[in-house]
Amino acid sequence: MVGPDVLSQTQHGVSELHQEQCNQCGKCSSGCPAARFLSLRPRKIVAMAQRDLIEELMESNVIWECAQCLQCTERCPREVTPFDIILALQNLAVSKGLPFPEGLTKMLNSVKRFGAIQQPQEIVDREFESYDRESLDLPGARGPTDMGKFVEALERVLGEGQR
Amino acid sequence: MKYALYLGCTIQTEQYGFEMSARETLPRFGVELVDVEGFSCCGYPLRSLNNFSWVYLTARNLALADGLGLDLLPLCNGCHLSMSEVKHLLDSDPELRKSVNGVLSVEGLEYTGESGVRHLIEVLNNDIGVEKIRASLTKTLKGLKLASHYGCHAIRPSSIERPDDAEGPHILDDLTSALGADAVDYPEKLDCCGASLVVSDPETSFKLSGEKLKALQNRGFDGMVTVCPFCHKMYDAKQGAIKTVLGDEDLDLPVFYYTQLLGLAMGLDEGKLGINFNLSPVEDVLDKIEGM
Repeated sequence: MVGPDVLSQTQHGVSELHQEQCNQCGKCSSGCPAARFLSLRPRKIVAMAQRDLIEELMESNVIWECAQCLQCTERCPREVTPFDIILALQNLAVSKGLPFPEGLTKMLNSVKRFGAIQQPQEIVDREFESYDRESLDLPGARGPTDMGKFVEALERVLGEGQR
Repeated sequence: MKYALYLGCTIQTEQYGFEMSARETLPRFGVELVDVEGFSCCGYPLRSLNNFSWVYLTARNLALADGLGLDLLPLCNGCHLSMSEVKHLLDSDPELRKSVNGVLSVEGLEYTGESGVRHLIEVLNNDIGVEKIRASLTKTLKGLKLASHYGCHAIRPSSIERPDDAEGPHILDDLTSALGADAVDYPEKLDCCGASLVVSDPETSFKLSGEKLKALQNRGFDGMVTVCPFCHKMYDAKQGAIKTVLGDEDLDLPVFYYTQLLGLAMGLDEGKLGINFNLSPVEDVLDKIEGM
């Protein structure tokens, strides 16, 4: 059984999670853009975290419905930071091998290969003409100068983050 | 006014109109933009997978700027938030800083915390100022009613330093007014573009951005002004897809980067501002920009 303290253990460099301070006022859910269309309710997530229902939360798709707008954290009168709790739950779910959006893996793999979430694209304008950075006289795209060392460091970080 | 220009992933790989218009306008006000070797992704898109990888990747880019003694100018709101937040974390947590620096040494880097982080609207408003902007114009956006879209990550969370107020931001409105336009306040101003949901739920993300576009259209706005490549991509490039998801063929709102509108009002060439890459119906606005 994992308790709420596990949330802070999974997080390197996130503000303190104070779910115990929540008095369930609901300002977070009322400001949540995802709540208008989806079943995510930050207030309910904090209530469940207070009751140690971490496994239920990790396994639920609602933690992947967050638009990361930060309004819940901004408007909380008790400094609870619901967004950081959702983030901790997402990290925990990933480290436990539970399902998560596959687009995230694609972005990670791209960062490992190129240092960015995608390579420079050839883009099309309103007249359907194609252009790339070179044809627009833009400087060459920047990226890590030594990809081997860049990936070595990143892999080390990924290993530590999942401890 | 010399900054390490940090493009992040989205601008450097596809949102060329933002980069072109920034490079075309800012140096004309004495803002020197330095391209830095070695920059990578800020890590924000990887936070949900592994938060420490985000802290590390952002610290890595901060360290590159530290080595050059330059303040950073990230053009993307997400990158700006990452840099502001990670800087705050590293400066307030010596143990975290030590462990991050331990890994940074693999690439011969060190985070020292010397370099500051600036937002585009701060540079425009504080370094340059609306008076100098007004004095540089040869055209006016008079008669155009424009909606400023700040983007969530430019204004939240107020627990760390952000360039404008979380509940009542005004700087982008002031900058848009300086171009002669009517920057009118609107109830949906703080609403999210939904870009972060694209990965897990594209349909909902399009509904979120569509809701705001539709509200602006119904309120009689001539266009929207953006300062973030993620927000801009949603409202501009994805406007066609949003129409389909909403089943609303009448949805039609021109969307511009602020630096594009600034360049147009300065009388600069449309091609050099990348206006041809805006996929929303910008022609109506272009036709209304007149000489002074």
